[in-house]
Amino acid sequence: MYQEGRLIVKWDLENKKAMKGKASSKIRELIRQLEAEGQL
Amino acid sequence: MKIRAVRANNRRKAFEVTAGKKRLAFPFTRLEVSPSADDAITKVFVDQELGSEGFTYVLQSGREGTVHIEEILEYNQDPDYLRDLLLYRLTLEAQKRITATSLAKREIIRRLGTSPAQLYRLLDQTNYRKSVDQMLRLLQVLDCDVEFVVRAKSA
Repeated sequence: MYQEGRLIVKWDLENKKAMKGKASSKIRELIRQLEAEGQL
Repeated sequence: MKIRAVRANNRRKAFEVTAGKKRLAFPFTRLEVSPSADDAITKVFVDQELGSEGFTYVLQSGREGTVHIEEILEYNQDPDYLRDLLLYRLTLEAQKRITATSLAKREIIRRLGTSPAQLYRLLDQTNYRKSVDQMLRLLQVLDCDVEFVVRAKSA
C-alpha cells in the first residue's frame, strides 16, 4: 500500500500481518473492507 | 528496491528492468493483462505512484497493468529477496512458538544471552536487519528443530 509514492505497508494477506512498514487501524479497516469485497 | 529503467523487448516477449545494479527480466506470460499481436504494448514507465518500486504498461486497447518489483525479484529468485522471505517466515514461526511456550520471556532472554530489546527486535517481523543465524538460535531456545532442504531448482 502506497501513499504519495511512499510505501506505507506491505501486508501479508494470509497471516494478516505487516511484512514491511506499519498498518494503522485505518489501514487495517481498509484492508478488511477490500477483503470483504473480494478485491484482494 | 527502486526501478531505474524498464523497457519492453517484444522479440524476447519480456520486460527488461534495471533495479539498483541488477538487470532483471520479466516475461509477458507472467502478466495479468497480457499483450498480444493485436494488442501490443504502447507505453511502459516506472510508476512514481509506487515510489518507483513498480512499473505500469499500457496496451493499444487502452488496457493497462502494473508489475511490482517484488514480483520481478520473486520470478528471478533474487537471493536478497529470498533471504528476507526466509527471515519473515522464521519470525512468524518464532512468534507462534513464543505464545505457545511455557518458558518465561526472561528465561528465553537468559538462554539467548541477550537483552529484552534484542528479543523484541528478533520477534518483529518487519525487521529485516537481524540475521537468519539469530533466528535459528531463538527457535532452538524455543525447543524447535529447524530443517533446511537444499534441492536443485525445478526447470
